[in-house]
Formats: sequence, structure tokens, C-alpha cells
Amino acid sequence: MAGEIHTLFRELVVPGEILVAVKGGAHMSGYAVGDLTELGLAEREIKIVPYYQHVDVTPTGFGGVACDVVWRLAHVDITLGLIHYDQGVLEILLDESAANGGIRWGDPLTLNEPLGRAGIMAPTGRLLGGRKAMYESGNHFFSVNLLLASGETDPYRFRMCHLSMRPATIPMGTDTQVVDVTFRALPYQDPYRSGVFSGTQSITTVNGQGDAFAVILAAALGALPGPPGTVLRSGGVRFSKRREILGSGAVLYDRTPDVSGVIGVTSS
Amino acid sequence: MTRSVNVHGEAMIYVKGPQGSLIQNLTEFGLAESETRITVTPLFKDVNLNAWGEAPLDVQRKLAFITCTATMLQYDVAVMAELVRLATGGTVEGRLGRAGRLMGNGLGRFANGNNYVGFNLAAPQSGRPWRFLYAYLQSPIGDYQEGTNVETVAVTFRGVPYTADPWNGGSGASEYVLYDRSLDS
Repeated sequence: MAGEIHTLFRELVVPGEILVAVKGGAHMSGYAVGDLTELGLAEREIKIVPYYQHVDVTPTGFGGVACDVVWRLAHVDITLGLIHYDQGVLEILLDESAANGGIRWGDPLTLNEPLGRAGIMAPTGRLLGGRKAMYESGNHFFSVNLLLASGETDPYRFRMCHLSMRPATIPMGTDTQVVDVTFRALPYQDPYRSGVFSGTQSITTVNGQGDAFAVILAAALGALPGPPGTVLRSGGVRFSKRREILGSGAVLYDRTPDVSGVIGVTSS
Repeated sequence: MTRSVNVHGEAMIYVKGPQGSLIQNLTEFGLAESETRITVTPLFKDVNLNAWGEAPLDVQRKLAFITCTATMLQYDVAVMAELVRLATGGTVEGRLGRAGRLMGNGLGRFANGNNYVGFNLAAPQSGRPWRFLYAYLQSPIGDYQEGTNVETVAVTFRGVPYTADPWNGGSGASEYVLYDRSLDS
């Protein structure tokens, strides 16, 4: 064997017991899912599958082979079979993933949430994120935390999740119910903010004097031009234009779990 | 260390069941015809690696259960009936509970609705009794010896690591007590 092969640290990896906990928008503040809330334990392994999106660049001169590849962001699917879980919390997650059609604003949401609301649909077209920041009231994405047992490191936090297209397979019978669910984590952020929230923003107003793209966006939202130095609003949706519109710096997942008691954080 | 000939002594089986049951207090079940046999069954899972052939590279612990088999000779038939009832879930011996019902029901030890019993085996000579914290009569129950001889009945108590909260604050089954060497009171 030619040359030296660097040796890092190989080992058998056993993540250990994993608790799934969730945290959603501040419209549920003070109630289940409004703060870090236990969803439950899985019957078998929890599977995390990142989906990277690539597009090949195939110039004629390279035949059918890509000469380069364009990175197009990614999402993650998290699949598991819940066996020791809170039905009320799952109900809330189903409803939040359906853009919060069943749970009315101001209704009590408790850990013993009565079931049945998840079957009520929100209006077609309602956005899950709604251009709201993480945990902001009205943002129906929720974080999924895979908490590892004491002493273990590197838990997962998927910041912006929803239960995806077939959100849950619910067996009914005399066996202990194992509900198969699939969460999809997205690199969501308000596309009209930059990837890195600095805390201070230089807002360029769409007033007919700004750049053309911002004007187009404003028109698409039905926003009206305003005077320089103001923020346009369209149907209550804040609209501001920053330096760039892109996913750079968007966090798909990290290894820092949410903290209980911190509710309604508005920065992303 | 201390080696010796070990004699457990007369092995009276006591049981203690949930509140509201006939055996809600520590109750004598009876004495066995022959030795009472206890078997600890740890569960393991091999870690296999292609580069390591067919032998396990390592082995994982997967918790454990414990059983006690005895052929009861001098025993309380009412207690036997209550143990059968708790195992099968009906309101009286011979009736069944609903299919799919859980033994523990997420309830604490000896709570009404938690059908596990505390299994206790006295050790008057050795001073090292056995206690299974969450036990039930394992299938098959009986092998009743009916005839003109003294009746005997074979039973197997199975002790399992039941808990209402398997997360246990992140500790899981760490330091979980499957059995100990004391007796219920």
C-alpha cells in the first residue's frame, strides 16, 4: 500500500435512547408545543435522510457528462415509528403541518389536547412559514429535537419541520399502536431577509426608486410603494428588501437542542 | 472469598398484587413439591462486521428478564385463582380481559389497574431471598395434576423490566431494578 493513510478515530457508534421533542411558534405560547415539548419514543431506529439537490451542468462539449454540478440546497426526512408518545402533541403537529386549520387562535392548547382538530383544513394557499421567523407567532414550522440520553453528545435539532405529505400512518387494532411519521426539515428562512440575521438592517424601501427586482416582488405581494425609509406591508406580511435573496447561511439542522422556557424567539 | 455449601432453605412463595385485588397485601402463595428454579435471562445482540467473519465483533446488552418455575404442592387455591385472573385480565378466574390490554397500563407498582404482582421467595436459611418487582404468571399456566394423588400445579413467574417511563429522564434502563434480594412488606 503506497503512502501513509491517515488514521482518525473509528468506533462502533451507539447513539442510545432517543427522545423526540418539538417546539413550535409563539402562537402556542404557554401551551403544548409552544415550548419544548416531549413527543415520544420510537419503536425502532429513527432514520435521518438528507436529500441533497444537485443539477448537472452539461455543456455540449462534454457530451452527456456533467462538467460541474450546481448545488441546489437540501432537505432532510426524519422517519420514525412512535410507540410511547403523546397523542395530543401529535395532533397539534398534524394540525400545524396543515397550516393550523383546526386550532383557533386563542384556543387553549394543552398537553391533554382533545383529539379531532387536525382534520379541519386551513385555507388553500396558507403558508407554513408565512415569512415569519423561527418560533414567531404564525410560523407553523416547528423544530424537531432528537435528544440523546444523559452523557451522550451531539443531539440533532431540525429547525424548520413539518409532517410531510403522508404525515402519519396510524394502525388501529389490538396491538400497541406504532404510528409511522415522516418529518421534513427545510432550510426555511424569510427569503426577503439575508441568510445571517445581524440584528440591524438597512432597509431599502420599494418606492419606485429602488431596484427593479424589489419592485417586482412588491407587486407580486400586492404591496403599494411607500415613502423612502418605510417598510411596506401587504396583508400584514412584512416586506423588506435586503442585500440579497438567497439561502446562504440558512440552517437546515444543527446539533444544539432547543431550550425549554425560551418561547417566541423572533430571530432566525 | 467465602466458599460454602449453600442451602436456600424452605422456599415459601409470597405475592403482592395491585390495590383492590385479593392479594393487595403480601400473601402466602405456597410451597413447592421440589426445588424452585430461578433463571435470569439477559438478552444480547451480536455486533457483526463483514471484516470480522461470522463471529461477533462485540455484543450489546439488551436488558433482561427473570423467571421462576415451581411445582406447587401446598398452596392457596384462592391466591392461585387471583394470580390467574391478574394474568388473564378478567373479573374472575376463567374470564378474559380485552385483547390488547397492557399489563402495566402506565401505572405505578401496586396501583389498581397495574396487573403485575410482586413475586417474593423467602430464604429463611440463606437469608438471601428473591423479589421480582413486576411479575406475572407466564403461559402456559398450570399443568394441573388432577387425580387421586395429591394435586400439584406447575407455574412460571416471569419478572420483566416494566416501567411507565422508559425515557427515565434520559437514563433509560440504567440501574433499573429487575430483581433484588429483599422482600415486599
